[in-house]
Amino acid sequence: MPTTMIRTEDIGKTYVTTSGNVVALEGVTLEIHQGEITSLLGASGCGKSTFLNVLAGLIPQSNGHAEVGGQPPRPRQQVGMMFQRSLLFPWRTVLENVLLPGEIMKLGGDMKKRAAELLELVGLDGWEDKYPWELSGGMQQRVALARVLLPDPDVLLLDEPFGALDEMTREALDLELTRIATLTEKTVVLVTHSVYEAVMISDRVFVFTPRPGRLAGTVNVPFGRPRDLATSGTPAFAEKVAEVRELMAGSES
Amino acid sequence: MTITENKEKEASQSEQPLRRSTWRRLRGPIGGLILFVLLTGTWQFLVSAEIVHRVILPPPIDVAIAFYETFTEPFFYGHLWVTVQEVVVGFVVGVLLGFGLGALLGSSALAREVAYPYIIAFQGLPKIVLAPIFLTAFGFGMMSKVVMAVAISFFPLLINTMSGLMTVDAESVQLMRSLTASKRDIFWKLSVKHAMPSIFAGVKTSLTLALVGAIVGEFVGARAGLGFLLSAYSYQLQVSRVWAITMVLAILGIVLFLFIEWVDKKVVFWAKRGISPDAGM
Repeated sequence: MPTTMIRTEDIGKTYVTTSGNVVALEGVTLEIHQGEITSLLGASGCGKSTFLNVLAGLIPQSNGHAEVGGQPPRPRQQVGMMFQRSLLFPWRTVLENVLLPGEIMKLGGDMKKRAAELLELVGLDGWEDKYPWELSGGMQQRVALARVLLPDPDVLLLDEPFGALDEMTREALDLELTRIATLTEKTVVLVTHSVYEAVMISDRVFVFTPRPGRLAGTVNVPFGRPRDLATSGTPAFAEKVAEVRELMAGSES
Repeated sequence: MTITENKEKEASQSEQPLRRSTWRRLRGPIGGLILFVLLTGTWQFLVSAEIVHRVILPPPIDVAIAFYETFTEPFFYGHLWVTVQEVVVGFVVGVLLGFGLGALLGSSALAREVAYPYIIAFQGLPKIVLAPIFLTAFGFGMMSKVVMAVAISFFPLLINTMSGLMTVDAESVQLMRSLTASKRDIFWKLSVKHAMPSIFAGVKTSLTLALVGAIVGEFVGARAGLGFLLSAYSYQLQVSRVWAITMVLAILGIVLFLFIEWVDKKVVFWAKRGISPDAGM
Protein backbone atom coordinates (compact mmCIF):
# COMPACT_ATOMS: atom_id res chain seq x y z
CA MET A 1 0.00 0.00 0.00
CA PRO A 2 1.67 3.24 -1.11
CA THR A 3 1.89 6.17 1.28
CA THR A 4 -0.63 8.94 0.77
CA MET A 5 1.00 12.33 0.22
CA ILE A 6 -2.02 14.46 -0.64
CA ARG A 7 -5.56 13.85 0.47
CA THR A 8 -8.57 16.08 -0.12
CA GLU A 9 -12.17 15.64 0.88
CA ASP A 10 -15.00 17.58 -0.69
CA ILE A 11 -12.86 20.68 -1.34
CA GLY A 12 -14.84 23.68 -2.56
CA LYS A 13 -14.06 27.31 -3.24
CA THR A 14 -16.65 30.05 -3.58
CA TYR A 15 -15.68 33.61 -4.42
CA VAL A 16 -17.90 36.35 -3.07
CA THR A 17 -18.22 39.14 -5.63
CA THR A 18 -20.41 42.25 -5.86
CA SER A 19 -22.62 40.47 -8.41
CA GLY A 20 -23.12 37.40 -6.25
CA ASN A 21 -21.27 34.23 -5.34
CA VAL A 22 -19.16 32.42 -7.91
CA VAL A 23 -18.51 28.75 -7.33
CA ALA A 24 -15.00 28.10 -8.69
CA LEU A 25 -14.61 24.63 -7.31
CA GLU A 26 -16.98 22.03 -5.89
CA GLY A 27 -16.61 18.73 -4.08
CA VAL A 28 -13.11 17.64 -5.11
CA THR A 29 -12.11 14.44 -3.35
CA LEU A 30 -8.87 12.72 -4.33
CA GLU A 31 -5.73 11.02 -3.07
CA ILE A 32 -2.22 11.28 -4.46
CA HIS A 33 0.50 8.86 -3.42
CA GLN A 34 4.09 9.56 -2.58
CA GLY A 35 6.29 9.63 -5.70
CA GLU A 36 3.34 9.82 -8.07
CA ILE A 37 3.30 12.20 -11.02
CA THR A 38 -0.22 13.47 -11.59
CA SER A 39 -1.91 16.07 -13.76
CA LEU A 40 -4.92 18.25 -13.18
CA LEU A 41 -6.34 18.60 -16.67
CA GLY A 42 -9.17 20.75 -17.92
CA ALA A 43 -10.29 23.79 -19.90
CA SER A 44 -9.88 27.24 -18.41
CA GLY A 45 -12.36 28.01 -15.65
CA CYS A 46 -12.46 24.43 -14.39
CA GLY A 47 -10.88 25.38 -11.07
CA LYS A 48 -7.70 23.35 -11.51
CA SER A 49 -5.43 26.29 -10.66
CA THR A 50 -7.65 27.23 -7.74
CA PHE A 51 -7.34 23.67 -6.45
CA LEU A 52 -3.54 23.78 -6.78
CA ASN A 53 -3.42 27.10 -4.90
CA VAL A 54 -5.47 25.55 -2.12
CA LEU A 55 -2.97 22.67 -1.91
CA ALA A 56 -0.13 25.22 -1.78
CA GLY A 57 -1.85 27.01 1.08
CA LEU A 58 -1.90 30.24 -0.92
CA ILE A 59 -5.69 30.53 -0.84
CA PRO A 60 -7.99 29.03 1.77
CA GLN A 61 -10.72 26.61 0.70
CA SER A 62 -14.33 27.59 1.42
CA ASN A 63 -15.23 24.10 2.53
CA GLY A 64 -13.87 20.60 2.76
CA HIS A 65 -10.67 19.21 4.18
CA ALA A 66 -7.18 18.94 2.69
CA GLU A 67 -3.91 17.42 3.85
CA VAL A 68 -0.49 17.70 2.22
CA GLY A 69 2.17 15.50 3.79
CA GLY A 70 -0.17 14.86 6.72
CA GLN A 71 -0.72 18.54 7.50
CA PRO A 72 -3.26 21.18 6.51
CA PRO A 73 -1.98 23.16 3.50
CA ARG A 74 0.30 26.08 4.22
CA PRO A 75 3.48 27.39 2.59
CA ARG A 76 6.41 25.36 3.90
CA GLN A 77 9.71 23.86 2.92
CA GLN A 78 8.25 20.46 2.02
CA VAL A 79 6.00 21.96 -0.67
CA GLY A 80 7.40 23.75 -3.72
CA MET A 81 5.36 25.75 -6.22
CA MET A 82 6.16 26.70 -9.82
CA PHE A 83 4.21 29.18 -11.92
CA GLN A 84 3.52 29.72 -15.61
CA ARG A 85 5.96 32.61 -15.63
CA SER A 86 9.44 31.98 -14.31
CA LEU A 87 9.15 34.97 -11.95
CA LEU A 88 12.93 35.31 -11.83
CA PHE A 89 14.08 38.58 -10.32
CA PRO A 90 16.05 40.61 -12.90
CA TRP A 91 18.26 42.17 -10.19
CA ARG A 92 19.55 38.72 -9.24
CA THR A 93 21.89 36.51 -11.23
CA VAL A 94 20.82 32.98 -12.14
CA LEU A 95 22.66 31.62 -9.08
CA GLU A 96 21.19 34.28 -6.76
CA ASN A 97 17.70 33.49 -8.04
CA VAL A 98 18.17 29.80 -7.28
CA LEU A 99 19.44 30.71 -3.79
CA LEU A 100 16.35 32.83 -2.97
CA PRO A 101 14.37 30.06 -1.16
CA GLY A 102 17.43 29.28 0.95
CA GLU A 103 17.68 32.90 2.08
CA ILE A 104 14.01 33.14 2.94
CA MET A 105 13.80 29.79 4.70
CA LYS A 106 17.20 30.43 6.33
CA LEU A 107 18.41 27.00 5.26
CA GLY A 108 21.75 25.84 6.62
CA GLY A 109 24.39 23.86 4.77
CA ASP A 110 26.30 24.70 1.64
CA MET A 111 23.45 26.16 -0.39
CA LYS A 112 25.80 27.53 -3.06
CA LYS A 113 27.13 24.07 -3.75
CA ARG A 114 23.61 22.65 -3.85
CA ALA A 115 22.43 25.44 -6.18
CA ALA A 116 25.35 24.75 -8.52
CA GLU A 117 24.49 21.04 -8.53
CA LEU A 118 20.84 21.80 -9.30
CA LEU A 119 21.83 24.11 -12.15
CA GLU A 120 23.88 21.26 -13.54
CA LEU A 121 20.88 18.94 -13.10
CA VAL A 122 18.70 21.24 -15.23
CA GLY A 123 21.48 21.63 -17.78
CA LEU A 124 22.57 25.16 -16.97
CA ASP A 125 26.05 24.77 -15.51
CA GLY A 126 28.18 27.68 -16.57
CA TRP A 127 25.24 30.11 -16.54
CA GLU A 128 25.41 30.95 -12.82
CA ASP A 129 26.51 34.56 -13.24
CA LYS A 130 24.19 35.49 -16.10
CA TYR A 131 21.11 37.60 -15.55
CA PRO A 132 17.60 36.31 -16.40
CA TRP A 133 17.23 38.66 -19.35
CA GLU A 134 20.21 36.97 -21.00
CA LEU A 135 18.36 33.63 -21.07
CA SER A 136 15.69 32.23 -23.38
CA GLY A 137 12.21 31.48 -22.02
CA GLY A 138 12.93 27.77 -21.74
CA MET A 139 16.18 28.40 -19.89
CA GLN A 140 14.42 30.77 -17.50
CA GLN A 141 11.96 28.01 -16.61
CA ARG A 142 14.88 25.65 -16.03
CA VAL A 143 16.24 28.17 -13.53
CA ALA A 144 12.80 28.34 -11.89
CA LEU A 145 12.86 24.52 -11.68
CA ALA A 146 16.27 24.60 -9.99
CA ARG A 147 14.96 27.27 -7.60
CA VAL A 148 11.91 25.22 -6.56
CA LEU A 149 14.17 22.19 -5.99
CA LEU A 150 16.66 24.01 -3.75
CA PRO A 151 14.83 23.38 -0.42
CA ASP A 152 14.38 19.73 -1.51
CA PRO A 153 10.57 19.68 -1.18
CA ASP A 154 8.64 16.39 -1.13
CA VAL A 155 5.80 17.81 -3.22
CA LEU A 156 6.02 19.88 -6.41
CA LEU A 157 2.92 21.87 -7.33
CA LEU A 158 3.30 23.11 -10.89
CA ASP A 159 0.87 25.60 -12.38
CA GLU A 160 1.31 25.24 -16.16
CA PRO A 161 5.05 25.83 -15.80
CA PHE A 162 5.80 25.31 -19.49
CA GLY A 163 2.48 26.60 -20.84
CA ALA A 164 3.96 29.77 -22.31
CA LEU A 165 6.80 28.02 -24.13
CA ASP A 166 6.86 26.77 -27.71
CA GLU A 167 5.83 23.15 -28.21
CA MET A 168 9.27 21.69 -28.79
CA THR A 169 10.77 23.36 -25.75
CA ARG A 170 7.79 22.24 -23.69
CA GLU A 171 8.13 18.60 -24.76
CA ALA A 172 11.82 18.64 -23.90
CA LEU A 173 11.17 20.20 -20.50
CA ASP A 174 8.33 17.77 -19.76
CA LEU A 175 10.68 14.85 -20.27
CA GLU A 176 13.33 16.61 -18.21
CA LEU A 177 10.82 17.18 -15.44
CA THR A 178 9.80 13.51 -15.30
CA ARG A 179 13.46 12.49 -15.29
CA ILE A 180 14.28 14.83 -12.40
CA ALA A 181 11.12 13.99 -10.46
CA THR A 182 11.86 10.27 -10.77
CA LEU A 183 15.49 10.78 -9.79
CA THR A 184 14.67 12.90 -6.74
CA GLU A 185 11.51 10.91 -5.81
CA LYS A 186 9.15 13.88 -5.84
CA THR A 187 5.39 13.81 -5.73
CA VAL A 188 4.26 15.98 -8.62
CA VAL A 189 0.95 17.72 -9.30
CA LEU A 190 0.95 19.47 -12.67
CA VAL A 191 -1.83 21.74 -13.87
CA THR A 192 -2.23 21.73 -17.65
CA HIS A 193 -4.79 22.19 -20.39
CA SER A 194 -2.91 19.96 -22.81
CA VAL A 195 -4.26 16.40 -23.03
CA TYR A 196 -1.04 15.32 -24.71
CA GLU A 197 1.15 16.81 -21.98
CA ALA A 198 -0.97 15.27 -19.22
CA VAL A 199 -0.83 11.76 -20.70
CA MET A 200 2.84 12.12 -21.60
CA ILE A 201 4.13 12.76 -18.10
CA SER A 202 1.54 11.44 -15.65
CA ASP A 203 0.95 8.22 -13.79
CA ARG A 204 -2.60 9.45 -13.28
CA VAL A 205 -4.64 12.22 -14.89
CA PHE A 206 -7.38 13.99 -12.95
CA VAL A 207 -9.87 15.41 -15.42
CA PHE A 208 -11.67 18.60 -14.33
CA THR A 209 -14.72 20.16 -15.96
CA PRO A 210 -15.88 23.76 -15.71
CA ARG A 211 -18.89 25.67 -14.33
CA PRO A 212 -18.65 24.83 -11.54
CA GLY A 213 -15.17 23.35 -11.45
CA ARG A 214 -15.32 19.73 -10.40
CA LEU A 215 -13.45 16.46 -10.78
CA ALA A 216 -15.02 14.49 -13.64
CA GLY A 217 -12.87 11.40 -13.35
CA THR A 218 -9.44 9.83 -13.19
CA VAL A 219 -7.45 8.08 -15.92
CA ASN A 220 -4.58 5.76 -15.05
CA VAL A 221 -1.60 5.91 -17.41
CA PRO A 222 0.27 2.68 -16.72
CA PHE A 223 3.35 3.39 -18.85
CA GLY A 224 6.63 3.08 -16.99
CA ARG A 225 9.24 5.73 -16.59
CA PRO A 226 11.43 7.03 -18.11
CA ARG A 227 9.36 7.89 -21.14
CA ASP A 228 10.58 9.39 -24.36
CA LEU A 229 9.08 10.85 -27.49
CA ALA A 230 8.66 7.34 -28.92
CA THR A 231 6.14 6.61 -26.15
CA SER A 232 3.78 9.13 -27.69
CA GLY A 233 3.79 7.26 -31.00
CA THR A 234 2.42 3.99 -29.61
CA PRO A 235 -1.21 2.88 -30.07
CA ALA A 236 -1.55 2.54 -26.28
CA PHE A 237 -0.71 6.22 -25.94
CA ALA A 238 -3.34 7.19 -28.52
CA GLU A 239 -5.89 5.08 -26.64
CA LYS A 240 -5.16 6.90 -23.39
CA VAL A 241 -5.48 10.28 -25.10
CA ALA A 242 -8.85 9.19 -26.50
CA GLU A 243 -9.98 7.96 -23.09
CA VAL A 244 -9.11 11.31 -21.48
CA ARG A 245 -10.82 13.27 -24.27
CA GLU A 246 -13.98 11.20 -23.89
CA LEU A 247 -14.05 11.90 -20.19
CA MET A 248 -13.65 15.64 -20.85
CA ALA A 249 -16.37 15.67 -23.51
CA GLY A 250 -18.76 13.28 -21.76
CA SER A 251 -19.14 15.40 -18.69
CA GLU A 252 -19.43 18.67 -20.58
CA SER A 253 -23.13 18.31 -21.42
CA MET B 1 39.35 42.43 -62.44
CA THR B 2 43.02 42.73 -61.42
CA ILE B 3 44.46 42.08 -58.00
CA THR B 4 45.20 45.77 -57.44
CA GLU B 5 41.63 46.71 -58.15
CA ASN B 6 40.47 44.10 -55.68
CA LYS B 7 42.79 45.41 -53.02
CA GLU B 8 41.62 48.95 -53.55
CA LYS B 9 38.04 47.84 -53.24
CA GLU B 10 38.75 46.02 -49.99
CA ALA B 11 40.54 49.04 -48.61
CA SER B 12 37.68 51.40 -49.35
CA GLN B 13 35.18 48.92 -47.89
CA SER B 14 37.04 48.64 -44.61
CA GLU B 15 37.55 52.40 -44.42
CA GLN B 16 33.89 53.21 -44.81
CA PRO B 17 32.64 51.78 -41.47
CA LEU B 18 35.66 53.20 -39.67
CA ARG B 19 34.86 56.73 -40.83
CA ARG B 20 31.24 56.28 -39.87
CA SER B 21 32.03 55.14 -36.33
CA THR B 22 34.46 58.02 -35.82
CA TRP B 23 31.73 60.42 -36.90
CA ARG B 24 29.25 58.74 -34.53
CA ARG B 25 31.64 59.27 -31.65
CA LEU B 26 32.50 62.88 -32.47
CA ARG B 27 29.21 64.29 -33.74
CA GLY B 28 27.91 64.99 -30.21
CA PRO B 29 30.91 67.02 -28.99
CA ILE B 30 31.27 68.79 -32.38
CA GLY B 31 27.58 69.71 -32.41
CA GLY B 32 27.83 70.90 -28.81
CA LEU B 33 30.76 73.13 -29.68
CA ILE B 34 28.92 74.63 -32.66
CA LEU B 35 25.89 75.30 -30.46
CA PHE B 36 28.13 76.97 -27.86
CA VAL B 37 29.63 79.28 -30.51
CA LEU B 38 26.15 80.10 -31.85
CA LEU B 39 24.74 80.90 -28.40
CA THR B 40 27.74 83.01 -27.33
CA GLY B 41 27.64 84.77 -30.71
CA THR B 42 23.96 85.59 -30.32
CA TRP B 43 24.64 86.78 -26.79
CA GLN B 44 27.47 89.07 -27.97
CA PHE B 45 25.27 90.35 -30.80
CA LEU B 46 22.39 91.19 -28.43
CA VAL B 47 24.76 93.25 -26.28
CA SER B 48 26.70 94.91 -29.15
CA ALA B 49 23.54 95.87 -31.04
CA GLU B 50 22.19 97.26 -27.72
CA ILE B 51 19.05 95.17 -28.00
CA VAL B 52 19.58 94.17 -24.36
CA HIS B 53 21.20 96.67 -21.99
CA ARG B 54 24.61 95.84 -20.51
CA VAL B 55 23.26 96.27 -17.00
CA ILE B 56 20.95 93.32 -17.58
CA LEU B 57 23.15 91.18 -19.82
CA PRO B 58 26.89 92.00 -19.85
CA PRO B 59 28.99 90.73 -22.80
CA PRO B 60 30.24 87.14 -22.57
CA ILE B 61 33.85 88.16 -21.94
CA ASP B 62 32.83 90.20 -18.85
CA VAL B 63 30.96 87.23 -17.44
CA ALA B 64 33.91 84.92 -18.18
CA ILE B 65 36.25 87.28 -16.29
CA ALA B 66 33.77 87.58 -13.40
CA PHE B 67 33.49 83.77 -13.36
CA TYR B 68 37.28 83.46 -13.11
CA GLU B 69 37.52 86.20 -10.43
CA THR B 70 34.83 84.53 -8.37
CA PHE B 71 37.05 81.50 -7.92
CA THR B 72 40.04 83.65 -6.88
CA GLU B 73 38.11 85.15 -3.96
CA PRO B 74 38.50 83.20 -0.72
CA PHE B 75 35.08 84.19 0.68
CA PHE B 76 33.39 82.55 -2.33
CA TYR B 77 34.33 79.09 -1.07
CA GLY B 78 32.67 79.77 2.29
CA HIS B 79 29.41 80.64 0.54
CA LEU B 80 29.70 77.64 -1.79
CA TRP B 81 30.27 75.32 1.17
CA VAL B 82 27.21 76.68 2.99
CA THR B 83 24.94 76.07 -0.01
CA VAL B 84 26.40 72.61 -0.68
CA GLN B 85 25.72 71.61 2.94
CA GLU B 86 22.16 72.93 2.82
CA VAL B 87 21.45 71.11 -0.44
CA VAL B 88 23.05 67.81 0.55
CA VAL B 89 21.56 67.65 4.06
CA GLY B 90 18.15 68.81 2.80
CA PHE B 91 18.29 66.30 -0.03
CA VAL B 92 19.31 63.34 2.15
CA VAL B 93 16.68 64.10 4.81
CA GLY B 94 14.08 64.74 2.10
CA VAL B 95 14.86 61.43 0.40
CA LEU B 96 14.70 59.47 3.67
CA LEU B 97 11.45 61.17 4.67
CA GLY B 98 9.95 60.71 1.21
CA PHE B 99 10.96 57.05 1.10
CA GLY B 100 9.61 56.39 4.61
CA LEU B 101 6.26 58.02 3.97
CA GLY B 102 6.04 56.52 0.48
CA ALA B 103 6.76 53.06 1.90
CA LEU B 104 4.04 53.52 4.50
CA LEU B 105 1.49 54.72 1.95
CA GLY B 106 2.55 52.13 -0.62
CA SER B 107 2.08 49.21 1.79
CA SER B 108 -1.06 50.23 3.65
CA ALA B 109 -4.39 50.92 1.97
CA LEU B 110 -5.65 52.40 5.24
CA ALA B 111 -2.77 54.91 5.38
CA ARG B 112 -3.51 55.86 1.76
CA GLU B 113 -7.20 56.42 2.43
CA VAL B 114 -6.47 58.57 5.47
CA ALA B 115 -3.66 60.60 3.93
CA TYR B 116 -4.94 61.03 0.38
CA PRO B 117 -6.67 64.43 0.78
CA TYR B 118 -3.57 65.82 2.47
CA ILE B 119 -1.32 64.53 -0.29
CA ILE B 120 -3.48 66.23 -2.91
CA ALA B 121 -3.50 69.48 -0.94
CA PHE B 122 0.25 69.42 -0.43
CA GLN B 123 0.86 68.54 -4.07
CA GLY B 124 -1.05 71.63 -5.23
CA LEU B 125 0.63 73.98 -2.78
CA PRO B 126 3.49 76.12 -4.22
CA LYS B 127 5.92 75.14 -1.45
CA ILE B 128 7.89 78.36 -1.91
CA VAL B 129 5.25 80.19 0.13
CA LEU B 130 6.53 78.26 3.15
CA ALA B 131 9.95 79.97 2.98
CA PRO B 132 9.04 83.05 5.08
CA ILE B 133 7.41 80.80 7.69
CA PHE B 134 10.52 78.61 7.91
CA LEU B 135 12.66 81.75 8.19
CA THR B 136 10.61 82.92 11.16
CA ALA B 137 10.65 79.50 12.75
CA PHE B 138 14.27 78.47 12.15
CA GLY B 139 16.12 81.77 11.76
CA PHE B 140 18.63 83.19 9.30
CA GLY B 141 21.07 80.29 9.61
CA MET B 142 21.31 77.10 7.57
CA MET B 143 18.45 75.37 9.36
CA SER B 144 15.64 77.27 7.61
CA LYS B 145 17.20 76.49 4.20
CA VAL B 146 17.63 72.82 5.02
CA VAL B 147 13.99 72.64 6.09
CA MET B 148 12.94 74.39 2.88
CA ALA B 149 15.01 71.94 0.82
CA VAL B 150 13.41 69.01 2.67
CA ALA B 151 9.89 70.38 2.25
CA ILE B 152 10.28 70.85 -1.46
CA SER B 153 12.27 67.69 -2.25
CA PHE B 154 10.58 64.91 -0.28
CA PHE B 155 7.37 64.93 -2.27
CA PRO B 156 8.43 63.43 -5.63
CA LEU B 157 10.13 60.65 -3.72
CA LEU B 158 7.01 59.95 -1.69
CA ILE B 159 4.89 59.67 -4.83
CA ASN B 160 7.41 57.58 -6.77
CA THR B 161 8.09 55.21 -3.88
CA MET B 162 4.39 54.73 -3.30
CA SER B 163 3.52 54.09 -6.94
CA GLY B 164 6.57 51.86 -7.41
CA LEU B 165 5.58 49.68 -4.46
CA MET B 166 1.99 49.47 -5.64
CA THR B 167 2.87 48.06 -9.07
CA VAL B 168 4.43 44.88 -7.67
CA ASP B 169 3.18 41.88 -9.61
CA ALA B 170 0.69 39.78 -7.63
CA GLU B 171 2.12 36.49 -8.88
CA SER B 172 5.63 37.42 -7.69
CA VAL B 173 4.10 38.02 -4.27
CA GLN B 174 2.48 34.55 -4.47
CA LEU B 175 5.87 33.06 -5.30
CA MET B 176 7.37 34.75 -2.23
CA ARG B 177 4.49 33.52 -0.08
CA SER B 178 4.95 29.97 -1.37
CA LEU B 179 8.58 30.27 -0.22
CA THR B 180 7.30 31.05 3.31
CA ALA B 181 8.36 34.71 3.00
CA SER B 182 7.28 37.10 5.75
CA LYS B 183 5.83 40.53 4.95
CA ARG B 184 9.24 41.96 5.73
CA ASP B 185 10.94 39.56 3.26
CA ILE B 186 8.41 40.47 0.59
CA PHE B 187 8.97 44.19 1.20
CA TRP B 188 12.78 44.18 1.14
CA LYS B 189 13.53 41.32 -1.24
CA LEU B 190 10.78 42.00 -3.79
CA SER B 191 8.78 45.23 -3.48
CA VAL B 192 11.59 47.71 -2.81
CA LYS B 193 13.78 46.18 -5.51
CA HIS B 194 10.89 46.28 -7.93
CA ALA B 195 10.23 49.94 -7.04
CA MET B 196 13.91 50.98 -7.40
CA PRO B 197 13.72 52.36 -10.96
CA SER B 198 10.72 54.46 -9.97
CA ILE B 199 12.38 55.52 -6.70
CA PHE B 200 15.51 56.66 -8.51
CA ALA B 201 13.50 58.70 -10.98
CA GLY B 202 12.10 60.43 -7.88
CA VAL B 203 15.57 60.85 -6.39
CA LYS B 204 16.72 62.78 -9.48
CA THR B 205 13.76 65.17 -9.28
CA SER B 206 14.27 65.56 -5.53
CA LEU B 207 17.89 66.56 -6.00
CA THR B 208 17.05 69.40 -8.41
CA LEU B 209 14.30 70.56 -6.07
CA ALA B 210 16.61 70.48 -3.02
CA LEU B 211 18.87 72.97 -4.83
CA VAL B 212 15.84 75.15 -5.64
CA GLY B 213 14.70 74.97 -2.00
CA ALA B 214 18.08 75.99 -0.57
CA ILE B 215 18.47 78.95 -2.95
CA VAL B 216 14.89 80.17 -2.41
CA GLY B 217 15.50 79.96 1.35
CA GLU B 218 18.63 82.06 0.96
CA PHE B 219 16.80 84.63 -1.15
CA VAL B 220 14.18 85.12 1.53
CA GLY B 221 16.71 85.72 4.27
CA ALA B 222 20.26 84.55 4.91
CA ARG B 223 23.73 85.58 5.99
CA ALA B 224 25.65 83.22 3.72
CA GLY B 225 25.35 80.94 0.71
CA LEU B 226 25.38 81.29 -3.05
CA GLY B 227 21.79 82.57 -3.10
CA PHE B 228 22.76 85.22 -0.57
CA LEU B 229 25.86 86.14 -2.60
CA LEU B 230 23.78 86.32 -5.78
CA SER B 231 21.25 88.73 -4.31
CA ALA B 232 24.05 90.82 -2.74
CA TYR B 233 25.76 91.22 -6.15
CA SER B 234 22.41 91.99 -7.64
CA TYR B 235 21.83 94.89 -5.19
CA GLN B 236 25.34 96.17 -5.97
CA LEU B 237 24.54 96.03 -9.71
CA GLN B 238 27.51 93.71 -10.23
CA VAL B 239 25.62 92.00 -13.00
CA SER B 240 28.59 90.04 -14.40
CA ARG B 241 29.05 88.52 -10.93
CA VAL B 242 25.37 87.63 -10.77
CA TRP B 243 25.70 85.72 -14.02
CA ALA B 244 28.91 84.09 -12.83
CA ILE B 245 27.19 82.79 -9.67
CA THR B 246 24.28 81.57 -11.82
CA MET B 247 26.78 79.53 -13.81
CA VAL B 248 28.30 78.14 -10.63
CA LEU B 249 24.83 77.01 -9.55
CA ALA B 250 24.24 75.38 -12.94
CA ILE B 251 27.55 73.52 -12.63
CA LEU B 252 26.72 72.48 -9.06
CA GLY B 253 23.40 71.11 -10.32
CA ILE B 254 25.15 69.18 -13.10
CA VAL B 255 27.76 67.70 -10.75
CA LEU B 256 25.14 66.51 -8.25
CA PHE B 257 22.95 65.16 -11.03
CA LEU B 258 25.81 63.22 -12.63
CA PHE B 259 26.66 61.72 -9.24
CA ILE B 260 23.08 60.49 -8.76
CA GLU B 261 22.98 59.19 -12.32
CA TRP B 262 26.16 57.23 -11.63
CA VAL B 263 24.65 55.72 -8.48
CA ASP B 264 21.43 55.02 -10.42
CA LYS B 265 23.30 53.01 -13.07
CA LYS B 266 24.99 50.94 -10.35
CA VAL B 267 21.83 50.26 -8.35
CA VAL B 268 19.17 49.80 -11.04
CA PHE B 269 21.33 48.22 -13.69
CA TRP B 270 18.55 45.91 -14.81
CA ALA B 271 15.91 48.54 -15.51
CA LYS B 272 17.27 49.62 -18.88
CA ARG B 273 16.65 46.09 -20.12
CA GLY B 274 12.94 46.82 -20.32
CA ILE B 275 12.26 43.73 -18.25
CA SER B 276 10.18 43.80 -15.10
CA PRO B 277 10.67 41.15 -12.42
CA ASP B 278 7.77 39.23 -13.83
CA ALA B 279 8.22 39.46 -17.58
CA GLY B 280 10.42 36.37 -17.67
CA MET B 281 8.75 33.25 -18.95
